[in-house]
Amino acid sequence: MNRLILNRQSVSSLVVLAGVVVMLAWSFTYTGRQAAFPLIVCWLMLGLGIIDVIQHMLGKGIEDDTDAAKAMHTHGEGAAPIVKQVMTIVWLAGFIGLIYLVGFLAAIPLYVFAFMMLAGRMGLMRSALTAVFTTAFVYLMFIQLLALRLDGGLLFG
Amino acid sequence: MLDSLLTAMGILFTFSGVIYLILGVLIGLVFGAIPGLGGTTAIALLLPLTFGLEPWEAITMIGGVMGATTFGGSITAILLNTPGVAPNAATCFDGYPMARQGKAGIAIGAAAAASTLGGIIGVVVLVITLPIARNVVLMFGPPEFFLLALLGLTAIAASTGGDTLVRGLITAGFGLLMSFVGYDDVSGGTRFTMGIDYLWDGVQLVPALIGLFAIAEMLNLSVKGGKVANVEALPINGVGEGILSVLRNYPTLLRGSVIGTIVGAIPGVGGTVAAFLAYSVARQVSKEPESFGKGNVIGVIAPESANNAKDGGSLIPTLAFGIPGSAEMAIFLGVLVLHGLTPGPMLLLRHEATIFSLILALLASCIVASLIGIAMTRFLTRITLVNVYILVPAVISVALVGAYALHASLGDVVMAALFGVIGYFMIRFGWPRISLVIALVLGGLAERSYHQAMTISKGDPTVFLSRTVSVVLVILILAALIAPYAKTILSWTRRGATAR
Repeated sequence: MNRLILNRQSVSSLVVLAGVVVMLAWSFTYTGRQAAFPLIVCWLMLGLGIIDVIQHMLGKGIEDDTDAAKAMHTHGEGAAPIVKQVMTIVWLAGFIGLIYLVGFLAAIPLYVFAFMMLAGRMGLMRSALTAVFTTAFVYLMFIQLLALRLDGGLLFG
Repeated sequence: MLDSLLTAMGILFTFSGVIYLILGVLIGLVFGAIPGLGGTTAIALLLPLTFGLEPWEAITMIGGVMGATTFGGSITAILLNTPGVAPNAATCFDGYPMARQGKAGIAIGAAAAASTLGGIIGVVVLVITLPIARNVVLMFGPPEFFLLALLGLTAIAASTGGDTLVRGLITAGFGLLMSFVGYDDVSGGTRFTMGIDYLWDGVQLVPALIGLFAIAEMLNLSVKGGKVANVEALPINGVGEGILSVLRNYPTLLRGSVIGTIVGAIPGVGGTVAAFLAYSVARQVSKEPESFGKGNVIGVIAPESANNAKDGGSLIPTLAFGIPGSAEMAIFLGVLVLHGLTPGPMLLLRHEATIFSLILALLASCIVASLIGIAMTRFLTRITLVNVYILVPAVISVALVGAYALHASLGDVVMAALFGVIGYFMIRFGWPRISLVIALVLGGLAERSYHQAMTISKGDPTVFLSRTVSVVLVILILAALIAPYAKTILSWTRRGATAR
């Protein structure tokens, strides 16, 4: 009997299957025509989700080792340190929070500068110049050229 | 048709038309050259910037990007062995060995000429096909449109690779569910909004596209770290000889262009398959197949001609049926929506001149991209050596402002970031993003057509098999689903025969 494989791929299959189950349960809260199409889609997804879990947990996936498949990265990227991945997302979330607080024009230079200095360990001058250049580009492109009024955030809005 | 063509020519050959075209080409070359970015990211980022432009200006610029991206990627594939975009990977096989042998200029010249001529052939086929496609569109009713949307989804899921057929279909399902979020025209209620007012208008396409492509790619680059490319460029000489080699090898050029156009017209199959198919066919018909992979110029001409020819081909389903053949085309449909042009069959009937602007822009961009690309070769190779920690915060900042720009809504910014994270995990775990995007675009059409068909037939599902066109579409859907498995069985059979 085949042993069950629990790796990155099979875990992602299980997470997606759980998502499908949630969506199916959610679709049941609607009735009539509102529910018809979502239910069809969810039932199909449930079947496919189970197949995907079986394929990846038993290692029975269809192998496509063609050069084209490799070039398209259909097998996903290699493993990466979890801390680095979490930090990448935290930086993005922090930037969104900063935009909400101080608005775009203050958040952009702060984010670019801090990201380059702390995450990229780059020099002060280079980080400052990139921060100024990016902010200037946004200002010229969106405010001057497109006449857009950028959000000033909770503090400056 | 001639009137529309003349109108489009009048538009393109104005001062601003040429400027937008060159701008698009420059952006396309740079984004094409930087691995991990590519045309899809370029168009996603440009999308909000086109907001203040006239539709034809926006379309001209986007046409410039589309035509230039692949050539930008081939320069780095040849000089750095680093394909800018996936379809350029096939060019590495012989392009980089040529560069190592001191024939980088010949390879770049061949790539430039093959891209230009391949692109022109693709566009010519598009122009010939559009009037026919317009008549075919008129034969379609709600059942056929539902089946067509279904075909688009299954073909795309199937084409993402045998291993990911199931995953492609699942992500397409999620894309459909996302397209159901918000106010529902059919029932008059809301769905999947979680009580959030922002979601009443549904999942906005532009922030979703910016997130899935621009932000997700940046997050992925950020995790990888370092420089985008890690090798030094090789010297360049003999560009003219490379251009002449394409003319000498015209059968390869024609074969590659035809393969590119046909493959491009099949929804979802895209440039990567076209380039690799053209490469392997060129190798199979060659008298010296052993010279491939060691610096044979035909190994550059074949994938490059297919690469650019596929743009013309992939516009056929996009313009004629509103079925985007690739992620790039899905975003292009977003550009059309942004400028008040509803994608779908009526687009071809009502906005012929605008469509011809795109076609001409694509045609001109193939030529302009090669000329500018050759001139910018040194700069393009240097740009790939940029540290990702400079690129990532700058692109994410512009991407989020772009997401905000359309509706001046912070909700769109959050949505783009959310899709960025989703897209990042999809890249990491090998879940295809393209089928999610296409489903997001096609979801509305699919559901609306389904309900219309069921209303017309008073709930009889045989309406989906009542006409010849429907039956053909059903057969194609089944073929798309079976194809990856058939391919695997075929390769098992071949392996078995070889073992014996």
